[in-house]
Amino acid sequence: MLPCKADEVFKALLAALDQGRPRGVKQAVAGLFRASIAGEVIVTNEVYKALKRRGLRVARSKDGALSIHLLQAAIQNVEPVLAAKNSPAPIQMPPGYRLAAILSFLLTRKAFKRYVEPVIADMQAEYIDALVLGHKWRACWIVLRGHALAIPGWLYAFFAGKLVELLRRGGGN
Amino acid sequence: MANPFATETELLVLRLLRDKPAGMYGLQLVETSGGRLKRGTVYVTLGRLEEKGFVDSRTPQKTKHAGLPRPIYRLNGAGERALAAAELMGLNPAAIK
Repeated sequence: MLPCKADEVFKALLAALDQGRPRGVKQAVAGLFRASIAGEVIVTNEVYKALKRRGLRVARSKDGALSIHLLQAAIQNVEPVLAAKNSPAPIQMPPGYRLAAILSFLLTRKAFKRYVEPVIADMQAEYIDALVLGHKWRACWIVLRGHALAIPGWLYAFFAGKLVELLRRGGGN
Repeated sequence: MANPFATETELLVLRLLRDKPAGMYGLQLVETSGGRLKRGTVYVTLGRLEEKGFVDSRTPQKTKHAGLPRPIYRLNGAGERALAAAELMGLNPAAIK
């Protein structure tokens, strides 16, 4: 068994993953190969959890031993993990999606579609246009302003809608 | 004389929409109004006009960008007649011109 050497290699692997260095990851994985050929490599719980947190799932036997086959599977997982980490534009939800989710729950579908959704849609379109032009601060400002501008719409939709409903009910009786 | 058709802001929106038969986004209305329409209330006005049956809105299924689709507003026949009647009666000339 080579617990000390494998621990160092795992540390190097974790550091390379954190820094998004493909070459470092490949070197560390190659080191694990060599260690596993020389003797059994034990994957401790800490190492297992640390790798899992970084999106790299390493299967192991019940006693924690890492086999060559499992290392090969781990290598296959490295590329997408690094690709996601090094991606210049990480996938994220457009601004206002939480506000839309909350208000679509509070308001009627008609009121939401008519008074709130267009404001959020405008904010998202302007935000994306600003990001495309590289205006990050303007994009932040658009998000703040968009959330503030949605307020009159949903206040009107909520209170005016309720008032009209009450008046109609009163007229009906 | 009280305006039987719409408020001044609503008449302004109807007038702007009449100039663009293809329809306009809410923000386009704000920009072309020269500051008379506000971002925060334009959709409230458009919503009221829709309820009155003067304006139709169409929301495209697909968008060029990620996020919610933006509705396009268009003046319909009832809106045109209401606007023509308002202009004929000389109502709210400051808002219309």
